[in-house]
Amino acid sequence: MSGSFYFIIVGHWLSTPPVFEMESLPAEKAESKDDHRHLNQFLAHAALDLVDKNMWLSNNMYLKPVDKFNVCFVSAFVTAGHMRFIMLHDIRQEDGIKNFFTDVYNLYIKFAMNPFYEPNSPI
Amino acid sequence: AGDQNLFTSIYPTLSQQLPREPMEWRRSYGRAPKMIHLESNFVQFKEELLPKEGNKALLTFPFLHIYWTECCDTEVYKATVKDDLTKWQNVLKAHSSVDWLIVVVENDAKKKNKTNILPRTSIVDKIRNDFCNKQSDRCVVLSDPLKDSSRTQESWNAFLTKLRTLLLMSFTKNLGKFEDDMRTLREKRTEPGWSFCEYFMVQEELAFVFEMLQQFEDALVQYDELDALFSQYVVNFGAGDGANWLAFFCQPVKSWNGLILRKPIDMEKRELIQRQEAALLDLRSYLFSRQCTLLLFLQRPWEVAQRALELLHSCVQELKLLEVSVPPGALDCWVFLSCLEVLQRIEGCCDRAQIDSNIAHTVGLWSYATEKLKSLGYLCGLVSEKGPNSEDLNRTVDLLAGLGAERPETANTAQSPYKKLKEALSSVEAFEKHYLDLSHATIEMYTSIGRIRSAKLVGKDLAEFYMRKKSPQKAEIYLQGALKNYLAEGWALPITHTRKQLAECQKHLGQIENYLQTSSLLASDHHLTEEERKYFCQEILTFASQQSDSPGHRIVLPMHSFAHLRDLHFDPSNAVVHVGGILSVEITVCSQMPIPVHMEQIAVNVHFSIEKNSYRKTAEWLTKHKTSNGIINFPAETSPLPASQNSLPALELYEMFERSPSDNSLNTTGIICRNVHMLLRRQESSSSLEVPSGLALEEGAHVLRCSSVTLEPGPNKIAFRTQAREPGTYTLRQLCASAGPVWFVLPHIYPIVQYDVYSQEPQLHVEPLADSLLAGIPQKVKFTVTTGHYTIKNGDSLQLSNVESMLILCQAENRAVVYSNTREQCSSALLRIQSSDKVTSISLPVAPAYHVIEFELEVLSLPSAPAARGESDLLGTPEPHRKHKDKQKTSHSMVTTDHKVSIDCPWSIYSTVIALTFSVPFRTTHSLLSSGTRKYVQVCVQNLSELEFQLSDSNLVDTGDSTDLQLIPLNTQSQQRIYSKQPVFFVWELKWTQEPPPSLRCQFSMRFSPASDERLSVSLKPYTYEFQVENFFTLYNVKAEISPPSGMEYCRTGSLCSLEVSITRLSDLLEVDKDDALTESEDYFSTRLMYEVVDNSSNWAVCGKSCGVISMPVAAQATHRVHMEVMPLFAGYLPLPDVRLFKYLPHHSAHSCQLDADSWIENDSLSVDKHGDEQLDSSSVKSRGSMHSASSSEHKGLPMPRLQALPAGQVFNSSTGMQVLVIPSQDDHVLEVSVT
Repeated sequence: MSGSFYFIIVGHWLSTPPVFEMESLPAEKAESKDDHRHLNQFLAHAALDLVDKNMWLSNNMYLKPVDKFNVCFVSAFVTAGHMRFIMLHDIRQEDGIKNFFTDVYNLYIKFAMNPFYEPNSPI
Repeated sequence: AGDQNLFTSIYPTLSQQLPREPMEWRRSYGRAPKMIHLESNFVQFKEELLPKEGNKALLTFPFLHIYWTECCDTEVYKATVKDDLTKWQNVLKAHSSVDWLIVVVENDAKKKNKTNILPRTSIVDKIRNDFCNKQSDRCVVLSDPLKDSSRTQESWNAFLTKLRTLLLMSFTKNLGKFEDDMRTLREKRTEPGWSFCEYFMVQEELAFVFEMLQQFEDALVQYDELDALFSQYVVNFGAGDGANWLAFFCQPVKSWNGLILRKPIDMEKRELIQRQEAALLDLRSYLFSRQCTLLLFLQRPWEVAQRALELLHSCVQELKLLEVSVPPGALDCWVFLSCLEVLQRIEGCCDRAQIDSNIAHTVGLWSYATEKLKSLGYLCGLVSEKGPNSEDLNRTVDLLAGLGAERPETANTAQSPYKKLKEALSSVEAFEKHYLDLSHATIEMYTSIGRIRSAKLVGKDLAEFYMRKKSPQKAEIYLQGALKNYLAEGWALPITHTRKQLAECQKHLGQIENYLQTSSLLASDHHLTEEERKYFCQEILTFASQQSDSPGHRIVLPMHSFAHLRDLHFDPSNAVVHVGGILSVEITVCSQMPIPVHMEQIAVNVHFSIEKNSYRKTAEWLTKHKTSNGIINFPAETSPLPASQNSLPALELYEMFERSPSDNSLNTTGIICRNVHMLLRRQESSSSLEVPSGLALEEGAHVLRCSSVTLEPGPNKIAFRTQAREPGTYTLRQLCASAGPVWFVLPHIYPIVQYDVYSQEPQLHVEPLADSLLAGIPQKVKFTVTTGHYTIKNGDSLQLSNVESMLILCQAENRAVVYSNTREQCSSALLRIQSSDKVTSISLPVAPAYHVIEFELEVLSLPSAPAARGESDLLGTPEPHRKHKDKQKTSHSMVTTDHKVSIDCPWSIYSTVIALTFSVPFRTTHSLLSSGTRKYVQVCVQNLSELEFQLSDSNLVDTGDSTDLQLIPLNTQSQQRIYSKQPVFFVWELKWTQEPPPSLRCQFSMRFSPASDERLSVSLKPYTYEFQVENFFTLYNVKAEISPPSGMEYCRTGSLCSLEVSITRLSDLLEVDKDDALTESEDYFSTRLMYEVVDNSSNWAVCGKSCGVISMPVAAQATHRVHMEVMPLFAGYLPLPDVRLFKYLPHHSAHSCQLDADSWIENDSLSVDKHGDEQLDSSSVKSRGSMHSASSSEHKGLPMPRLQALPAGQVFNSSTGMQVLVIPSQDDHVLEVSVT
């Protein structure tokens, strides 16, 4: 069973464009990609409200699924620097997503250490 | 069991009293003890009611069997009660029930009636003996239950406590057993044939029990466990691990009638589950309704909302996972109904204020319901303009059928979800009403809890709906709102999508300007496909090509979406142009359109400002922009992202320590943010993006235009040409591109781009080609005519007024070169020069304005007689200011002559006066040399220039009238080369036959020509030098002689030697002698002379008087001898000390102050020298020091004789150059002194 995932990193300033986005779709759905992409952004964007809210309620960086939309779950991960990782996924798979977030976080930190990288600019 | 009548009489009190006091319930598995209120149902004992083996019903399980008896008579007891009891006990044992209680009710009234009764204890004891062999507490006495006495109360209490304890004991025991059974059952779940429904009923039984005990928490846990178990199965099924029983749930969904939350237990569904006929939705619905009920019991309605949302989502998910076939729209109906049901249920149990404060929890349901209704609407064709077609209607009917009939419990409420859905689906209008209600409610809620982004998303959906309903004016506001939000946060894809919708909306609305603007933004959007971009671009072009009805009408759009300015290039590159000059501006515009766009005109509005000192400004500009090559790069346009991020100030954090004032210990520490007020400002107000208004089209008089340009996608170069008109600074302000009525305007060009126009007066510059002009030889002078605004016509010429001593040499091959303003050579023409007596006319070549004409002329300054200054050099009294000057400097500065030339220019009525300074390349000095009475004149010519010259025909003539004088040249070469900075000497011997004149006037002349230049077109004038030699005749011969002390062969250091000075008069009285020093006696004249012996080289120490005044007879061969002693200080060949002669003039003579002062100075310098001597000569210090002080005091007195040095020619020192051998003495100490 392959689900479709959509991952996006949003900077911590209010007014920054997404830092990074990536989409992974199961092979059979690949053709519907273009329709999905902006929809995904819409959802991720709307979910930011909840992410912003939930991150103050939890001690963890990983925020579980914060929002649902139709068949999509929205999981989020907020780093110490308030970078917001948001994942849209259509199947429940908390552990996998949590691990993924942790991996991405490690990578992101390595990336952010790069002196040539300016925080909040698109990766 | 037992006496039924008795129980009925006690029952009301019992059932009332039993739950009154809580009991502590200790539970197995370490669960926390809880206080519970027991409440039990009393049922008459029937054997059938006893549980059979394997019965799983806990709810109706008899926990405690109570036998009630009122028996107080042994007989009766023995006869009936005992049997009855035994039978009862047996039955219980047969069912292995150990929870029983025998209650003996005592009644005083009965006792009184029967006097022969046994003591009451006996019956109890009997019973105890008979039945309660081990458990004596299983028999309880309840005395007088219906009376109100303390004894009764006491016994009641004891009874109740006992009853409770036993009940609880039994309950705990049975519950534990039940749980164990249940667990066993659960463990069997992997076995085939295990049924979830069965297990469900078992566990639910447990939940019911807890619920009954008001342990809602525990009851909820049971349901949650069931929920989780089921979910796990579904997930496992999804992973391919399907259980058989799940297949049952996979049957197609036939009914979607939503959650039913009004009844505590939905028996209908429960039965379905019990019968194992429930579909997934049924199971879920039932499970949730139970959970909901319990949560509401627990006063947690918000959790209901949350769980509901989760449930709805996961159900949908599960259905998908289990691959259950669902008719389209069924799920939407179910979700919609469920949402509303949950919401209404919550509303039903909370008041308004609570709901309002908890919108955050319910808003999810609201939006979900909205969304579902929307999708239903789309599905059933209720959103389209035309209304539903037959297919849609069929679908609607099917959906409504799936709802089934309305539940009886909601049938009479007007707002039931069922009714709502039915109504909404029934007609287009009703749908619209319901949908709008829901949407508005959702948006409002989202907004009120600050979830702006979600609100915008719902708003966007709403807008889409409006668009479908063809009411774009309503849609626009939502789209704008959403767009603003996305723009502020820079989410590109949502921006694009929203814009697309907005464009459509605006198109419908007929907001042409806005539509075109949005279209231009979309056409340049890279997130769109090529076709879409082309479409929007085409939209603009189509509009542009339409003939607009009002010709003056124009639509102004911002340029940044259409194209952006990348760079700008000026030609000439310094962006400075003269009046009338051509300036071309080339701009590179990156078109962001996907297809080539033809623009009718591209214009740059230019703002003109007059600079007063435009010339100075121009020069400044030139230097400032020299390196930029005239290219101005514009920063790459930041995609219309908010600037607020950049403008947001950085956090300014400071550490803060606060110490206690008493002991300076740290009290608090922290971090202070200094610029909180900046950071916490509202963001929305600061960034107003995409303001379509405010694009004022500047209409200036100065516009650079370029017509009919086709902008290809990507960079385009557009060139503007303009002719500069008025001088001043032109600032490029706006860039407009127009196609028909559509104008794309770049309102500000930043960085500021300017070009300058200047106007210049014609000018003439004349400057020497070399560093300095040399007199006497042809020198080149460069003429530079800057035409400025004047155009040189044919026949214009420069009129040079001639100066006598300066010739303008006209050469045939003189060429004038015309340069353009940027130093590019334009043409060259032969220069025509016509000279007349007074005026030299140079005809200028024809040159346009703002050009430069350059040509060279050769001029020759005739060497005039140099100023007489040089002569005085060798006179006895030099000019005072000369003396103070640095000698070195004066010797190298050339004598200069200025020639002023006035030039009449054709552009001006005034003539220009130009001064040319020529330097004389030579400096000539002369000197008189004597050898006894023979005289020689030496002329020294010093070349001061950098050039080499060839000298020839040197000649010295006497210009005076003395005829008997003869100048015999001693120079051998006629041709001589003089190198740069080198002198050449010429010597002539002076011979005379008669008495020589007191002064001699001579003129030295020589020809010279530059050594490098062999052929010269003009004959050069010789260089002349006039000078005068006076008093050249020798009057005195001074001879000094040092002889070693007597008896010695050589002088020795430290020993006194004798110096003999003899002064001899060589001539009789001459003209030159006639001055104040001459005293006339009776028969002869005498003059007073002062001699002085000075040794400047400190070789000698003069002992005794070193000077003295003598009276010298003015007669030939008159000799005066002076003897003095000197002491050599060093060994070796020492030159003799100097002997100087002065004229000693009496004090009363009237002389100019100048001379007086000079002699003073000479005296001073002398005395200084003497001081220097004194340092070494210790022996002579006193005498001479006193003398000096005397003489200096003499100087102070007014009547004082003066000294006048004799002219060099009048004294011949015949002992000059003589040396005396001094050998060192054996005296050591002298050497020592000299060493120090």
